[in-house]
Amino acid sequence: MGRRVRGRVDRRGRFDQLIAPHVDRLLAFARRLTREEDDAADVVQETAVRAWRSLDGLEDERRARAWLFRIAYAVAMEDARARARRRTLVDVVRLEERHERLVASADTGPLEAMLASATAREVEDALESIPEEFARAVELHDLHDLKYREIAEVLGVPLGTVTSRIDRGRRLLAAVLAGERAIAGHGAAGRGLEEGSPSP
Amino acid sequence: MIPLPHDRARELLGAYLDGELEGRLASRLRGHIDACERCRSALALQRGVRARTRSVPVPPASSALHARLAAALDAETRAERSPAGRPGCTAARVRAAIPWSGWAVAAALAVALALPRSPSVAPGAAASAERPPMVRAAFGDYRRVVAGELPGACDAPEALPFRGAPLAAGGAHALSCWTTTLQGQPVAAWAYRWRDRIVIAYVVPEALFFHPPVVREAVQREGRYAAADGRERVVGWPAADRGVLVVGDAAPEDLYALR
Repeated sequence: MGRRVRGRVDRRGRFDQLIAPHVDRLLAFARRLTREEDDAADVVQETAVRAWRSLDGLEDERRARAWLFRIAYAVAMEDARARARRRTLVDVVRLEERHERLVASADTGPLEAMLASATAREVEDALESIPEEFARAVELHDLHDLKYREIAEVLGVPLGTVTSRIDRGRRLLAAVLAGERAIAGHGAAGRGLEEGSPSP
Repeated sequence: MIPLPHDRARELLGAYLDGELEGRLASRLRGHIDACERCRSALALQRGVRARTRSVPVPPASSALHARLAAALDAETRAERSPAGRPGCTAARVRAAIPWSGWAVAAALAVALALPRSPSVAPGAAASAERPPMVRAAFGDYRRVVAGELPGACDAPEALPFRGAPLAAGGAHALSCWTTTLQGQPVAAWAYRWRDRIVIAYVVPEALFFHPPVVREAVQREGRYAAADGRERVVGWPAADRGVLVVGDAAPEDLYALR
C-alpha cells in the first residue's frame, strides 16, 4: 500500500474512532434542536462531513466531543425551519415564583422525592417547555457531560452566561416538574405551589 | 473571608454543585450555604433536577444512520481523490461527488429527457448490455430475496434512506420495503407484486447510479439503462436526486412502464 493511501486509511480510521462514541448523543441533541427525525439525521450527517473536512484543525483530540457538538449546533442553527419550530410554552416569571415557594419550604425531602420519581418522558417534556437557551445549556451539561467551558464554546456565549443558564434552567425544570406532579395529585409537597396559595 | 451576598450566592449554586467554581469562591459560597436555609433548599432542588436529567436515556442511533454516515464519508474521500476536487456543499443533505464527466451527463439529461424518446429497449440490446457491479449486486439481492421470505410489510417507509415509493403504475402493488446495501451504500428496496410475479425496485444514491460509464451512456442515449442476467431483467432510470433500478422476470419495457 502506498504511503498516500496508507495516510488516507489512517486519517479515516482516526476520524471514525473520534466520532463513533458520540453519534448517539449528537443525534439526541439534534432531535431536540430540530424536533424532526429526518432533520436530526441530516444534521448528524452534515456534522460528520464538516468535521471530516476540518479534522486537521482539531489539535487536541480530547476536545473532540465539544468540537462535534459545536459543529452540530451550528448546522442546526442554519436551518430556519428548525428555528421556527422552537417555542417557549411556559411563563418564566410564574415558574421562578413557583421555584421560590418551593425553596421557602424548610423540608425539601418530599420535593426531592417527587423529582426522583419523575419519568423520563416528563423530564423530556419539561426540557421542551422551558426557553431554548436554558434547555440547551442544561442538556449539554446534565445529559451530555460537557464542562461549562465546553458549553460556552458550543453555544458561542461567555462562561458566565452558561453558569446563569444552567442555574436558571434547573430552577425552571424543578418548578415545571413539581407543578406537573402537583397537578397529578402527588401529595402535600405539591399543594401550595399554585399561584396565590400560602407557601408551605 | 468576605461573605458572599445572597443574590450572588443564589446564581452560583448550579456551578458550585457541578464543581465549576474555583477554590476561593467555592469556599465563600460554602460558608454562605451553611448559614442560609433557602440556599440549602435551592441546592437540594438543583441536585434533584440534575440527578433526574442525567438518568434520561440516550437512544442508540440506528444502523441505517451509521451506514448513511459511512457512505457520506466514503463520498468525501472519493471527492478528495478526484481531480475535480470537492464540490461545494451548503445543504444539509450531502451529495456525493462523482467524476466531472458524470456531472456533465447528468446536466445533459435535463435536455435529453425532454426530447422524444427512442423506442423501447430492444431485447437483443438489453441482453448484451454490460452489467456493472451495482447491477450485479441488484440481481444477486433480487434472487436472494425472492428465494426466501419477503421482509415484513412497509410499516416505516420514513426510515428508508430515500423517501417515497419508486413505482407508481397501477398494476404494481407494494408488498414490503426495507433498507439494504448495494456496493456498500444504503439503498431503499421495495418489493411489488406485478401480475403473477415479484419485482423489486432499488432506490440508490445518485452518485452510485451514475458511477458506471455504461449506465451514464445508456441514460444519455435513451433515458434509461437496461440489462439481462438469465431470465431476470433490470431497467434503471434517474429520478430527482436518486436512481431507480427495477429487477424482475419481465421484459424491460414492462418494467419501465411501472414507474
